[in-house]
Amino acid sequence: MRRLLITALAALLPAAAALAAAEGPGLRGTSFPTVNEAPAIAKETADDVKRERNYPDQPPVIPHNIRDYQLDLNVNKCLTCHSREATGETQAPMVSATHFQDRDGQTLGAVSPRRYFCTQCHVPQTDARPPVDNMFRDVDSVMRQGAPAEPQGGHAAAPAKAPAKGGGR
Amino acid sequence: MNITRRDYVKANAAAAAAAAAGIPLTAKATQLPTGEAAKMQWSKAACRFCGTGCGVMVGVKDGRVVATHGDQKAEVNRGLNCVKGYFLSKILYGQDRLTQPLLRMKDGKYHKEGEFTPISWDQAFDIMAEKWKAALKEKGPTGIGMFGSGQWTIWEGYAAAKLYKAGFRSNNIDPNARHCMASAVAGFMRTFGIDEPMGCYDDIEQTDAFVLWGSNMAEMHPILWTRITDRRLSAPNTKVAVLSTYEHRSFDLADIPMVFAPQTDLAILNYIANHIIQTGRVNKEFVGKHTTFVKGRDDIGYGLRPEHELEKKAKNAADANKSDPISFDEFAKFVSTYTLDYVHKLSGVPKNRLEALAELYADPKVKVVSFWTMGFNQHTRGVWANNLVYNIHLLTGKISQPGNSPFSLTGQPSACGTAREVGTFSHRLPADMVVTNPEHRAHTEELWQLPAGTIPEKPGAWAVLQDRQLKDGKINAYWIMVNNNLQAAPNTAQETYPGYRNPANFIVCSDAYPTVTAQASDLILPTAMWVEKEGAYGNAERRTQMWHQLVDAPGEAKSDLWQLMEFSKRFRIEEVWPEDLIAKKPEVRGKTMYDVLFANGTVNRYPVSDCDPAYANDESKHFGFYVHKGLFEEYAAFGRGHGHDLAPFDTYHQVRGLRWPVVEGKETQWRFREGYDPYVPKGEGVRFYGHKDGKARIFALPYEPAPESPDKDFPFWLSTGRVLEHWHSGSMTMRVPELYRAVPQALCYMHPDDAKRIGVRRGSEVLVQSRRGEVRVRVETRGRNRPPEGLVFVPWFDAEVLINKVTLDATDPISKQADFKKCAVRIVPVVA
Amino acid sequence: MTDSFHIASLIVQARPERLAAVAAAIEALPGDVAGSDPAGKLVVVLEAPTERAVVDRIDAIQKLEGVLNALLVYQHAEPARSLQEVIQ
Repeated sequence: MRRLLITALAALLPAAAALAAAEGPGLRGTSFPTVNEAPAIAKETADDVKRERNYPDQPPVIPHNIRDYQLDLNVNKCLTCHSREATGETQAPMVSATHFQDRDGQTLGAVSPRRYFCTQCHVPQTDARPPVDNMFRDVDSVMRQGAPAEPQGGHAAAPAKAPAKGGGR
Repeated sequence: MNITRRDYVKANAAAAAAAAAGIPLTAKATQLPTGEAAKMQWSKAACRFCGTGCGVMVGVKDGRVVATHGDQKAEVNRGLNCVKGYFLSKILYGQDRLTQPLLRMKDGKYHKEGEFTPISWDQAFDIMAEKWKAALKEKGPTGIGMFGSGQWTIWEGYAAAKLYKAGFRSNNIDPNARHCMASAVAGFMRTFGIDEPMGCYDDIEQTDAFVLWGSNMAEMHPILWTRITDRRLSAPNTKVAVLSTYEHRSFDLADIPMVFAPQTDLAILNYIANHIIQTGRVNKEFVGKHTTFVKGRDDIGYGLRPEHELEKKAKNAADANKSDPISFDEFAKFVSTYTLDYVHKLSGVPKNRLEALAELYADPKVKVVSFWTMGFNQHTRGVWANNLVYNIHLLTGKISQPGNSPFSLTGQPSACGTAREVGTFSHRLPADMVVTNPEHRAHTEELWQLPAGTIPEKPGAWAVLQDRQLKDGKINAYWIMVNNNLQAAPNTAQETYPGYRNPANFIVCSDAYPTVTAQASDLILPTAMWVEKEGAYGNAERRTQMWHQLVDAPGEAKSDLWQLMEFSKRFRIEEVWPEDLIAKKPEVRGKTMYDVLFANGTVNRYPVSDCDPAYANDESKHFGFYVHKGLFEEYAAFGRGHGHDLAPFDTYHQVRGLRWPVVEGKETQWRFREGYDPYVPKGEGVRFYGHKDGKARIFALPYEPAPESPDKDFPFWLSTGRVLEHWHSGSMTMRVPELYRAVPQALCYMHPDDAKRIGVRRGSEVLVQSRRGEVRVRVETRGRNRPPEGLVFVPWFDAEVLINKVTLDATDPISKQADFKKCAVRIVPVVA
Repeated sequence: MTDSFHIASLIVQARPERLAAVAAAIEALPGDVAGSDPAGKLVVVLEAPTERAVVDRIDAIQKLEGVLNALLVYQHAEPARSLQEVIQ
């Protein structure tokens, strides 16, 4: 509980003040000697809802569970839904057209082998709540100007089911 | 404008709710910004994370980074990034960025147990200078220290090394690269007499076989992995062999997967050499012309404290790096005991796989690339492992030509460019020179315009020794810069933390975020990061890359370069040099260290007007000259004409990096081979010119066990490591919400049967305990890492699971690099 | 994969001082904020492929810091295909 409080404080105060406020300054957990409890394993988000991208070239995150997906020399399970020819039936988003280009920018008849391992860029999300907000602003927000930097993270994109992780993380 | 039924339904829905709530609807702007308003400034940069050195394009709008993506023109990655690289934009914007110096204070004064209180830079340097002067006065130059980083830009590392080795006359400076690839460096120096890989990434597209020695490239070097995957799937005859002590994602592409018992890689390497000899596949011409054989000392200890039983027992701990010449026949006899049967029993790898692996090297028709990183380097016999893999490439002549390459990868983005080439290690000087060599010191003093005898000849304390000396009160003023050593060092609970909190010591930490290290320090200095300053990194294939300052740092945050140079103004030369040294160059009397080291006529020779007017340059504006160019050009003088040639400074702002040596405007892809490397004399074909005789060394070195193995009380091996989504201890990546949510916590990966045996299952909380410390962590039995029975894997990126409280501070006695891959632990269920 | 599509609107009552943060958090879910009142009311429109996803997102909104209540006003479902019809 104490860790939760510290994080709540940290979110409200500038870094310096928060550091001063907490004994064994507590922005990321408690002081070194403490052996922290391990929160339960975070649950993978599986609502199939697309998340907005921060910028066009950001690889979209995966809004479904991929546990036990086979992705190896023999099988790429992701492509069974996301390949061009599967998307009519599955209605899953097709792998981006950029993925059909080889290293030299030539478009191939199939997904380029250099893009074969999807999880190098596309990652699933969990219900874990980031302990620290991120003040990144996308280009639209910067162009609108005046729009204050809304913290993004702790209470933004993830439907935070319960603060099971504890705030201290 | 077309309106769809969806728009119509949505409008109805909104209207219904608005009516119910009694409030008007806002008209959402539908007008797209066009023309000037939508323009962004795009500039090139190098990725901030691993040693691969991907090129990125950074989009800036109104002083903020708003987008990043892979640079199409970058040869390394051709437009691709890994998931971390794609999120680079957000690492600058964690809400807890440090924006002002913070000092532990009580009653308005510094106090070791005080609370962090904002102060000015002036006050920060006041207290620092006071503490440094006191330590110098009491203990001399060995009483101060610095722990830097392979994340320093080239000029930052160079300025730090100069400040310490010449200014303070202390060799107690070491980079976190010591934890990362010191064994690779020593391996290169012993076998070739010159550091860094002979080949380059272009080997990947030209080879027939890849062998990963304890390297999980799928997660740790993902962009190189895309190139390997591309090659493997495009040329189906290509083979991929993966060796590790547990299964991981790189096994997904493996034709020859091998899980071996920890430490037995040494035996497997010797078996391959034996197999090559026994089957008559030694390339006799190559071996005769380009190699000689030596036997290295064995029984060299484990780099523990000298009073440790194992050190007292070791015969050759004092001269671990010595070797004696032997003949080919003696070498053949030495490796002949490493038979298939013996090595199969020792390693647990099936015989047919060992043979298939050996054949990749032995078959003269197969071109082969070996890759390794932490599996070899973080190893109490890491230098040996490096030497032994070179052996098998040298015996077959499969080296220094397209597709045949022993390739040492790096973890830090500028492990090569900064830590190694600049010489920020406690024993090194620029361009592979060492402090113990009088000629090297003299050459350095000449280029730095310093009196003879300025640089001390005794190597300073390396990473692990610095921690011990802090704990023992021998180093009292200590500066940690761009690294998170309290999370990264081995055996932190016993050997690192006590030194930081030792009341005799004053600890300074420069960082962008309040890491565990910063929180355990006494003074925190807020730091400008990545594209908030002009920078240069050198990647694992000898490629030097530069970027401009693209945005301003927040608040009072300043670059490491500014901090180092500004601090040097606080010392008059009489306060740091003895009278007899000053007497050799009396004109330095009364000057500051800054005057002598940086305003020396060389570093300050380029005016601010040389800076590209399209970009800000905070340091140059502040100091009144083009700091980066001056430091770079002074540094480059060390390597030009000596096999480490760099191009002129301005070139690097134009190109997507160049691989040194750059001679007459041309980079070098394969060193030591005529036709590629201008340093190989015509007609010689191959010359390993790092050694005076032009020959590489083939080393006879045995298998020796690890210092600590599982036993009755601590029955599991523990290996630590990283994950794809986080880098650099997670200090930046854990502040990117998408990366945090992807992998929010460190887990203890273990075999399901082991879990069953101790009565836990996936998700159970356990204590991982060693003789040194413990952490609490959740069990994962079906994740991306699949250990064999008897081994657990816990990554170290999570500040809440400080697994390095558990690890052992044993090091390779030659490289002084710690082994983070092997120690003995027990797993105890936490009863709720 | 479902071929129907769900659209819902709701009134969210938030603490006035948290209004901007709540609106931004809802936008990021994603959801559309179609109107707001400085007293702390927001009109929100949600779109999702399943009813479950709509309910989950309402749950998520209710758990946002500063949200006092989220009240469903309108819900509609129909095949995704027909929603793409251009009507004007």
